[in-house]
Parts: sequence; C-alpha cells; structure tokens
Amino acid sequence: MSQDPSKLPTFYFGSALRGMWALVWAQRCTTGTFIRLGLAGAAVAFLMLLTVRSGNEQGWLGWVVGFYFQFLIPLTCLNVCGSMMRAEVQANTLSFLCTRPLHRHTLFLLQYICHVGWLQLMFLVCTLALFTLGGVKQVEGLGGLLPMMLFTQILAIFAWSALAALLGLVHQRFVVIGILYWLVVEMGLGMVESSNINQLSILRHVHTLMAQNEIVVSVFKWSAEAPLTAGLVLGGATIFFLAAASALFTFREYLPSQEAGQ
Amino acid sequence: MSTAPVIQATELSRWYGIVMGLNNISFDIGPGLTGLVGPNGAGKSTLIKIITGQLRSSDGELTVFGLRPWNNPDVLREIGFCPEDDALPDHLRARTWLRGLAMLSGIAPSAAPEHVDAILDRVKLERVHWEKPLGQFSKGMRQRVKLAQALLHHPRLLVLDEPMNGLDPMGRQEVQSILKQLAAEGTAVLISSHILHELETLCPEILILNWGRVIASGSQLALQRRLQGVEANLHVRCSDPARFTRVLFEADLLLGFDSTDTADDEGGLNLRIKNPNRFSESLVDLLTEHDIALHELRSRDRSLQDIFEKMTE
Repeated sequence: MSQDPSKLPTFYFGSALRGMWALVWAQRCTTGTFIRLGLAGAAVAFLMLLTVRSGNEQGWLGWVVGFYFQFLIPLTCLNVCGSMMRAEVQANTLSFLCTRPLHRHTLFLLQYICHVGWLQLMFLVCTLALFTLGGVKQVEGLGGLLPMMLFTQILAIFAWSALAALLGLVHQRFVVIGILYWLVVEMGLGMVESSNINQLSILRHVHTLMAQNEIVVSVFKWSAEAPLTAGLVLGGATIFFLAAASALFTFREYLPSQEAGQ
Repeated sequence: MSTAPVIQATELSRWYGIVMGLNNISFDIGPGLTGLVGPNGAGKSTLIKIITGQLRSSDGELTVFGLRPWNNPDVLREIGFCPEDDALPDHLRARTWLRGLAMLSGIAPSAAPEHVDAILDRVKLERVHWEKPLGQFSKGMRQRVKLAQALLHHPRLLVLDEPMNGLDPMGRQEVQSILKQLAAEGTAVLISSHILHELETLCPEILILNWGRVIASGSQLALQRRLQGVEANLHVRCSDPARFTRVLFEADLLLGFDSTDTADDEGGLNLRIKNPNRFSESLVDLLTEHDIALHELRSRDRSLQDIFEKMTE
C-alpha cells in the first residue's frame, strides 16, 4: 500500500536524511569510483612501500601526514563537497531536489551531511589501510597515533568539507578558488609567526591537534599549545561555513542557464 | 470541487539582468487541466520555475494555494513538477532514485518501496525496467520516470513541462489518460506543451503567453468566441456558391473566400467572415431572400492552433 497523502509529515528530517543518503550512496558507490579509489590507494601504497624503510617513522609520517592528511584529504573534500550542489546544477537535476517539500537550507544540510558521511567512511578505511602499511613497515607508536589522528581527521573533514561546500556555492570555478584559498590563507597566512593572523588557518589548528602526539612533534616540530581552542576553532569554522553556505543557497537561485553565463 | 484559484499571479514580473522574462502579468489558474501555450522565449519556463519555487519574482506576486512557493515546504508539498529537460541521474536505478526522492518528500522509509512501486505501476513503466540504470532508458521511459517522481507525494498541483516529449502515440494516450484521471481526482494540472492539438483535447483551460505577457487566458470555448467577434473561418456547401459569395459581399460580411467546389465537395466554399455575430443573425434571411439552399455549414476555427496563431499574430 502506498502512504496516505494526508498522513505525510510536516517535519521529517530523519526520513529525508535516509532518502538523501540513499541517493548519495548510490551516486558514490559506483564501480568507477571503487576502481579509481583502488588504483589511487595501490599507487600510494606502492610508493610508500618503495620509499619508506622499515622502522622509519619520519618517512612514513611524511606520506601519511605530509601528503595524505595535508594534501589528499582537503583536495578530495574540495572536489566532493564543492561539487555536491554544483554538479546537480550543471547536470540540470537540481530541480528534482529543489521541488521537494524541504526548506532550501535543509536540503543543503542534508547534502552536506551525506557527502561528509561518505568522505568520513572513505577516509576511515584509507587511514586504517595506511596504518596497516605502517605496521608492515614496523613503524613504532602507531597505537597511540591512530586515535588522535582519527579524531583530528574527523574534525578536519567536517571543516574542510564545509568550506568546500561554501566555495562550491559561490562559484562554479570552486577548485581554482579553493587552491588559491589554500595558498593564501592556509599556506601563506597560516605560516606567519609574527602575528595572530595565522589563527585563520584551519591547517594550523589541525597541526595543533596532531601535535598532541610525540612522534608527530618530533618529526614536524608543530606547536601543541591550546588543543581545546584548536578543536573549538575547527568546530566553529564548520558551523560558520555551513551557516554562510546555507544562507547563500537559501537566497540565491541556481539555474543551469546562469551557470553557463557565470 | 473547489473553484478557488490554485495559482494566482498579480502584476508578476521577472527580469534576467536587463532581459525581461515575464512582464507585469496577472492571471488565475483554477482546478482541472490547464494548458500553457506560447512560442519559444514567451516566458513559459520562467513562469513554471516561479510556480515550482525554483525562481523568485522580480516584482509582483505569485501564489500557489495562497502561499509563495520559494523556499516554502508548505506549498512545495502540494506541487509536483515534471521538468522538460531530459537530465536524469543516469547511473542510478529507477527504483533507487525514486525511493530516495520519496523519502525526501516525506514518505516513511518503511513505506517508500511499496509507494514507489505503486507509482511506477501508475505511470505504466514495465516492471522489467525498474531495476535498470536510468541511463539505459529510452526517452519515453524517462518521461514516465519523470512523471512518477512528480507524483510521489500526491501533489494537489501537478506542473508538467512538455510531458509528451519522446512518447510514442500509445504512450501519449496513456499519459493523457493518467492526467485526466488525476484531474478527475481533484489534482490541478498545468501542462506546458508545444503540441497544441494534444493540449486542445486535454485542456479545457488555456493560458497563452507571448513576449513575457499573457495575451489570452480562459476556456478554449471562450477564447474562440472572443476571436469569432472579430472574424471567423467557415466552410459551407450550398446550391449556388457564386451567388452566395456575391450576396455576402453586398451585405458587407465577407473578407475573402476560396472555392473548394469539386466532385467530393460540391458547392464547397471556404469563407472568411467579417462579423460573425451579424452573419449568424442575417444568414437565414439572406438565404431565403436569394433562394440559396445551404447543405453544410461548419467552423474551421476549431483548433487551438488557430487560437494560438491569431492571438500571437
């Protein structure tokens, strides 16, 4: 029996979340995605096994923190969450979502939650695989590093994805804007030591959290001061970016014709 | 059935930069089937996007069931939208996609599978296709899936942009029958289409747009009557076509004529009548006075195409 239309609920975030998750999961879990992920993982694993000597923490951390954590994760967040709405606009399928009985900000948040959920799962698997490789390479201290890294990773993915989602709504060339942002704010301002302007950098707060581990500090020399503040800033940044993006999606029209002219 | 307007536009305008999409239009659309007609660039898509809450008006107001649709779940709950564009998430399976959209529309996750199956049956998509990726669907099947997603939450207003595109004649008939059934059940249906003869048979009410303005709205019958006040195209067969045309000229009733006098159409004439009302009042007298026998008289202004062409002239 189909559901009685008079009994459709007026508020149904849980049901809508299930619906969006089903769509995002089906969209993301394609053979092509798994082949690409598998090839990328195999390439990283191969290079790591080739370049990292047994028991060499510095070499392993160079890959895991220097490349994977600081480069691969934010770039993937930018690609996945930046395109979550933009791809719907470009494919002209946003009308199927926008005409559902949901506030526009709810629709945006549902998309964000589901895409972040997918990213969290994907990077959880990747991180565990990298730590397994670390075990193969007899890297010491992995047991202490793993929970701290996963905790930081979860917060960082939330924040980077929220920023990416905002950039994706701002302009269709969000990848370029994201890379510029990365160079100017994260790598530029974030490295300025003479003033507090470096606090604008999300990466700096990620470093602070990572630096709670001695091995990380010994390799990267990051400051471990004020980890609580760093965590709060990451959470605050996530909320700020999401609020800005929700407001933008609520008040701005997104049409493929405008996309072409943008 | 309530006759209160479903859609009400008051001095509605929409600009795209300096380009005007809709220009200060006002109209009411009531329950039942209404056809939205207009040439390319007339503003049909803009109007549909405002009705379905995808665009906002630049000026004036449009309400659906008394409320503005933009970012308003209370109205969107009542609207189903079937877009013209053929864009679908091609890698998703029909059932998966519709189940996701059903839950986004407020259908409980436990009820969504059966609900979707019932809708797919209603739009007559064969079961063998339900688990196929949308990318493998023919255009007609895609139209049916698009219609299904519009019906998921049992809307009270269904807005369809070119719903017959890509459907074979049988498919068109089936979709027409679904739409008629929905209208009979109380759903207001607004259909934009360029296939005018289909709207003619389907929609008693018509809204004609051109250059962003409403140039006519109302029942097809009323529009025809309005046009007939100006001129009418008739076909007659009579005993003496030459004399009949002369008589009509002398009575200042005839704008022009073509003879269609052949073996199949003996005494046949296509007439352009100047003042249809006066023509109908004086016809019997003229025929009697000049001893002309009239075998056949019928209007050639029956098609929506005629109305559309005259209105957009």
